[in-house]
Amino acid sequence: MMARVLIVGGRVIDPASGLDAVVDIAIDGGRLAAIGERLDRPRDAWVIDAEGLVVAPGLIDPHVHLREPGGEHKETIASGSRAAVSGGFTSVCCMPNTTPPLDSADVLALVRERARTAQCRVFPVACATRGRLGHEPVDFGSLVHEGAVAFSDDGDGIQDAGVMARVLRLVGQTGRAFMQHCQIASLTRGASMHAGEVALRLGLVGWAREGEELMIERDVRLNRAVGCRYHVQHVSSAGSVEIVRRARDEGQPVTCEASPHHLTLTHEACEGFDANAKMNPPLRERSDVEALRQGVHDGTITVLATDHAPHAVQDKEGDFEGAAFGIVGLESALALYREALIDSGAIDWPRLIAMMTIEPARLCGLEGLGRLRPGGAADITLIDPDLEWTLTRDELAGRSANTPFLGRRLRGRALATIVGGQVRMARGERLASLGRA
Amino acid sequence: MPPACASGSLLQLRGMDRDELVALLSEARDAREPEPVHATHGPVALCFFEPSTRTRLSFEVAAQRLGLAVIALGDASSTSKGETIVDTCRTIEQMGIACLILRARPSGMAQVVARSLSCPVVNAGDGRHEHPTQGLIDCLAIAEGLGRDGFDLSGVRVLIVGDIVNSRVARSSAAGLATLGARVVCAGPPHLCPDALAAALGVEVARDFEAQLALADAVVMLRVQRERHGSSDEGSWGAAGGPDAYRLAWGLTRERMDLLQDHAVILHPGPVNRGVEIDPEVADAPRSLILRQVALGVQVRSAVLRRAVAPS
Repeated sequence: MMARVLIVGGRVIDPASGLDAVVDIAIDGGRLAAIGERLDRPRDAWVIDAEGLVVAPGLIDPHVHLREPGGEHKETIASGSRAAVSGGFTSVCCMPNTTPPLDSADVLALVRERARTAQCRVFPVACATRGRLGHEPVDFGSLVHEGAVAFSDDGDGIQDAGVMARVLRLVGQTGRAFMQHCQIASLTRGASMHAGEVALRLGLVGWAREGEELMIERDVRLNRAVGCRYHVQHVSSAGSVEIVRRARDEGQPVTCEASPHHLTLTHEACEGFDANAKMNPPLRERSDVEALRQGVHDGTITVLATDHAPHAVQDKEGDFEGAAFGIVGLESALALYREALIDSGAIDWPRLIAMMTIEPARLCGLEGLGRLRPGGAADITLIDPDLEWTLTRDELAGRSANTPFLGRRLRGRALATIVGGQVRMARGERLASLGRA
Repeated sequence: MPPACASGSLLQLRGMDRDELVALLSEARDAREPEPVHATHGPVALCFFEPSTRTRLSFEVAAQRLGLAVIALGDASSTSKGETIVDTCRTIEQMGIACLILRARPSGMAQVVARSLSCPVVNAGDGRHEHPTQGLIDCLAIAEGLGRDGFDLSGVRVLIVGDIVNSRVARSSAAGLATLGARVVCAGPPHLCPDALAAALGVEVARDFEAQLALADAVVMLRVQRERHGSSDEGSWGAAGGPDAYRLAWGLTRERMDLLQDHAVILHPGPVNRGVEIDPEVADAPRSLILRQVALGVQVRSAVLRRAVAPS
């Protein structure tokens, strides 16, 4: 069989198989045809010179907000998928806090329909309770049938312990993961940033760590007798990392994710009332950032997720307390992970790639994705690990530009994103011609 | 880092350098009968998006004494039709104003508005954040009351008592007083005056109220701002129980006034809840500067408005 695309001379890292070597990859008809040293180069093959680049399985982000349906002025599945491939992601899992929320087969079908023409693969995470109201569990079986890869009421945690116990039992029966946005509402009412020195100085109501930690503690205790795959979204505090570590040590199927901003910024970023530093959960203190990095180092945190949260200008430009929570993150994620985790010595490139590929693939049950396997899907990301660049508005491919990282000097960038054998993004002198193919 | 804004703006006292602060206070002290400013200036705009009596009238009198026309936002402002505060302020700026005086409920609103305007903005209180003219008043009143002509407050101990967390006045006063060299001690129940304030504001936090009274050169009493506590548990009187219990624990009562040193002065930014945080006999005592603060308020605002419309 003739290989039509060859990626040659790159450092191929496939954590799922333990491969980390300079080898070639052949792609044929959307499938990965072969991996090996000095593969044959037929005359009509299209050869991509990847020397000096990392060749990885397509990156996967298990936590993004694409805002469709209902929030199309902030982002759409189409625009969000452009941001994804620009950042090197070949798959994203979109959260269900849309309008209407993703709590029924009909709405899931709409998302899957829109996803068919998206630049990357889009997998919906469905609500765990009807209307995301935290009262009545959804019909999990039918939503799995309609393509839900996991369940979450993201944006809100499930407040009622009894409902939570039922959700864990029911999701556990499906084999899918439950993803919790850990926030006790009654402890965080009116809060717009971390409860600490900066909030006291600025006169803002604080969101204390306990608001997150107590929910995780409750959930892992409830889950002991159930054994549902329980995943903590965007962990923000040192205490949360410790609770997850203990649960994992007990052998519970508990995982957690960290976001680029929680790994790099502290509450100091809110000085000057910059609403682009307003996140939920909030940016916390240096000691929390260090604990998150330590959690990545020791394997407590296994997944990286951007929580890409686009907002329109009017949602972020007014006063800090009234502004929306969250930032866009798909384009800057890879470089920020590099800064936070590789430059700090917490992990190496193979582990970083694992946390962005096979780990989220396992979390969301994405069969065949997140790995490089002959015969498998040709989802591949080419990364220049040392490329220096500056994040500007023009570099953002999505609809919104709400990020405190604009103007920041970054290191490391995806140069090409191949989804099912199709080049969906290519940049830089060497690869730009791919994008026009 | 000073926030981005037009020259002549006054957004906060935190971060203002000592020379600038002393210059402003000196001008305020001398502004008993200010010279009118040049008549070519447009009006000053009073944009109060939150109720106010003393601050609003004080700015109005100050502007009149400088010969500046005043336009003021009515109660039925356009924000009730859905316009944002920033857009309302931008709209008013286009009418040709010399400066905009802002009072708004969200913390940090003065900085947000100042970033969007090219005319000077004077913060007349933004949420729990700052109330810089009131902070200037406290600095001026304490310096005057203690006879510190050059505004050097080194060796002066100022005790701020009560609801520090929710007080924009406390934030401005603490910043200004510390810049002038004073030692600022905050006292109150833990939910209104948490230990973390020490590091956040660069003050000391104390619970031994009566011992602190005996050490203080000036005492600033604050009202419990229950309207800012929202629906959380802090909305109650908390551990203090209620107004009577609060008075017993943290009120400056007649009896406690006797603990003060002879020269010590008493301040309150108003409005006063008589019989709660301060007894009527204390509020009206000779050492109370509460009314003097109001008079100085006009002088301070004259100086601030002059600086805004005619920057040196």
